[in-house]
Amino acid sequence: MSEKTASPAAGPSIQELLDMEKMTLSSKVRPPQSNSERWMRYLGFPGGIALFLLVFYMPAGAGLSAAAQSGAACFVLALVWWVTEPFPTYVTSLVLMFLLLVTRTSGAKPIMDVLGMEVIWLNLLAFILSSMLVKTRLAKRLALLLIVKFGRKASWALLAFVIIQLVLAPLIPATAARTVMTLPLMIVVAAIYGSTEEHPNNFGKNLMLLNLAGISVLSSMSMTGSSANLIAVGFIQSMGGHRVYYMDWMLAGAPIAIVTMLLMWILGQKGIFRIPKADQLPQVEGGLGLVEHQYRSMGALSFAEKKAIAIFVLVLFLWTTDIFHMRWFGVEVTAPFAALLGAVVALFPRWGVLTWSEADIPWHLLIFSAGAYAGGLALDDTGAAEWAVRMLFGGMNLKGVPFGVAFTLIICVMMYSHLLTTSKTVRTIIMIPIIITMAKALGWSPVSLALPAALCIDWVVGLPISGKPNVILFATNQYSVMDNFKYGLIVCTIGVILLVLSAATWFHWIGLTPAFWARPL
Amino acid sequence: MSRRILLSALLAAASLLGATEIREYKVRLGVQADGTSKGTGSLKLAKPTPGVFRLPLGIPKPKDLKLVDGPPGSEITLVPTEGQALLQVTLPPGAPAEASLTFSFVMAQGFTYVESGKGSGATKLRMLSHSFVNTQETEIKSYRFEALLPQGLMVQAIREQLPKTGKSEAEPRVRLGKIDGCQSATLQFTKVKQGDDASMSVEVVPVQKSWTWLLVGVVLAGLYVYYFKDLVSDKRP
Repeated sequence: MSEKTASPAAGPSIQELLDMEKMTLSSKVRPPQSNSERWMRYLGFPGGIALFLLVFYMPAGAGLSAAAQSGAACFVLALVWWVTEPFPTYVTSLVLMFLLLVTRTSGAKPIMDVLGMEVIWLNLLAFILSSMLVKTRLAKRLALLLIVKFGRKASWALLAFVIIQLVLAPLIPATAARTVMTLPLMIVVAAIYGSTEEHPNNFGKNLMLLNLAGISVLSSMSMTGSSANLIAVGFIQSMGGHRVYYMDWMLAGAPIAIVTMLLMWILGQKGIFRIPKADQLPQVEGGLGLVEHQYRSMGALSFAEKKAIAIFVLVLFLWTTDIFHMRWFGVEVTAPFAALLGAVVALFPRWGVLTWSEADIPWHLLIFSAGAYAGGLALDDTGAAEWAVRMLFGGMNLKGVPFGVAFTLIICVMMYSHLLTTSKTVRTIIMIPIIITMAKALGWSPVSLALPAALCIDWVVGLPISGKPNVILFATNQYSVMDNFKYGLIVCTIGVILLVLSAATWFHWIGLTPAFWARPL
Repeated sequence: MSRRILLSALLAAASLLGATEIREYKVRLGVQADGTSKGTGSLKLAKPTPGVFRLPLGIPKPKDLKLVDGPPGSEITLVPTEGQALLQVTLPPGAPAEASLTFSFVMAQGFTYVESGKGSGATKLRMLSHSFVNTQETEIKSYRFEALLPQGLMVQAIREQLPKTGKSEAEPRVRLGKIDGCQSATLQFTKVKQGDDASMSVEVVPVQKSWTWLLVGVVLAGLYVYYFKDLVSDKRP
C-alpha cells in the first residue's frame, strides 16, 4: 500500500502533520506566490484608492443618498484591497470601519456593534468547539478514519466530503454550524495531503472551496435549508398567490444542487486548481500504510474523546431540534447559544476537556469578519445594495421577450447579486418581491420566475465575506480571496447554466415554467 | 339665513349616513434652498358623501391654503390646532361618484436644524422631516408624501422611516428618487387606519463634496507607489 503513495523522502512526518495543537490559525500574511501576485499587491493599494475616488465623486444616481454613495466607495476600496492584499485582510477591515465613520456612511455605534453580531459569536464559539475536537484528538481520529476508508486517492477524499455535506444539509439548516462541525476534519485531511496554512497546495484549495460550495449550494435543496428560503416561499404565496410545497422546492432545487456539486468535484481537481499527480496521494512519510498504522495505534476512544463526542452530540441535538425548542423549553436556543452551551461544558473546570488558553481563537479573523459585516451592513442600511439591484432590473426591458430570455437575465442578476450584499435575508427581501412584480407585469406566472430565483438565494460562494461559512473557512489560510472569487464565479455560472437548461426541460415538464421560447400573450 | 341652516342640517345629516372613501391622499412639498416651501395636495375620493370631513395635513403651520380644483361647491379650509394642521373639506351634494380635489399651500420653513456634536465643535444638521397621523375615522387607502429638494442639495441619509416595512410590503417606507430633475424623498403608506402614523426624517447636505478626499487619496497612493516599489523591483530582498 505504501508504494502507491507519493515519494515520502522530502515530506514531513505524519506526527508533524497531525500535531494539530501546534497548527494554530495564525494571522501571518501569505507571501505572494508569483510575479503577478506581487504586482497585484503593489497596484492594489493605489487601485483601491482610485476606485474609491471614482465612486465617491461620481454624480449620484437619482435614488441614491450621499451615505449610500460613500458606503459603496468604501466597500469598493475594501474589496480591491481584500482581493489584491496590499495589507492583511484584517487591516483592510479596520481601514474600512474607519472610512465608514469618517465618510459619515455609518455612525460609530452601528460599526462597533458588528463585533456583537450573531455571526461573530458563532465564529468565536465555533473555534472553541473546533479546538475541543483537536485537543481531544477526535478530529485526528475521524480524519485518519476518513483517509483510511476513502483516502487512497485525493479525489475520493474530496467526494467523501461532498457526501458528508449532502447528508448534513437537510439535518442542520444553519450553514455555520455545518462548517464548524466539519472544519477540524478538513484541516487534518488537508494536512495529510500536504496542505497546511504555511504551505497550502491545490488539494487544500479544492477541499476548502468544495466544502464551501457544498455547505452553501446544498442548502438550496430544500425550502427549510435556510430561513431566507422560507421568506422567499412566504413572498411567493403572499404576493404571487402561489403556495410552494416542500416537494415543489425539492424537485426543482435538489437535482441542480447535486449536479453542481458533482461537476465542481471534477472541475475543481482537474481544471480550476488542478491537483498534480504527486499530490493526489497522502503526503506523509511512510504513505497510506503509516496512516493506517497511526489510526490503529490510536486504540480505543479515550475518555476525553467520549466527552467531546457527548458535547458535540448535545450541540448537534440542539441545532437539529430548534423547531421544538419553544414547546420543550419555552425559549428557542438559537445556533450560537447551542454552541455557547457546548463551549461552557467544554471549558468547565475538571469536568470539561479544554482550558481557555488551549482554545485557538483567531481574533484577526473576527476583526476581518467584523469589518466585512460593517461594510455589508452599510450597503444594506443606506440602500446602496437595493439601489444597485433596482438599477440592474430597471435597465432591462423584458417586455415581449420570450420567457427563456427573461428567465436567463433574472437568474443571472439573482445569482451574481450575492457579491453586493452579505445577507441572504436582505437579498431575498429586496429581490423576490421585485421579481414577482416583474413576472406579473410581463405576463408570466410569478412562481415560474420567483421559485427558480429563490433557488439561487443560498449560492453565496463568491467572496470570503459573502456568508458565515465563507468567513470561517477563509480563516484556514488555504486559499486567497482571488481563489475564492474565481471558484465562486465558476460555481455560480454552472448554477446559471443548469437553471437555464432546467427551464428549457425539467422545470417545464414538472409544470413550473412555460415553454422556454413562449412569448407573453 | 334659514336656507343656510337648512343646508347645514342637510349636510350634517348626510355625513352621518356614510363616510367618503379616501382612495389616495398625496402631498408634494417643493423646498427651496432657504427653506421656504410650496406644497400641493390631491385627494381622490370615492362615493363622496355631502358634508364636512376633517383630514390631517401633516405640515406644521401651513399658510395660504387654496382650493385649486374640485367638485363645484366644494371648499377647503384650515382648522386652527396646536399640533399638525387639519384640513376641513366640505363636499356639496351631487358630487360625482369619483371626485378629486387639489389644493395648494405654502410653508415658511421646510427644514429643521438639529444640533450635532459637543461643545464648540457642535454643528447644525439640516433635516427635512414629516410625520402624519390619521386622526379621522376613514381609512386612507394610499398615502404619499413627496419632498422635493432644490438643485444643489441631496439626501445624506434617511434618518427615520416609520412604521417598519411589513413583510408583505414590497416597497420601502421611504424611497429616494428624482422628480423634475431634483432629488426627492417619498414617504408611502397604504391602508392607513385611524390612529396609524407614518413619519420620515432625512438629512440634507450639499451635492458638492469636499476635495480633501481627492487630495488625501492622491498623496497616499503616490507615497505608497514610491516607498513600496521594492515589492516589484528585481532587486527586492
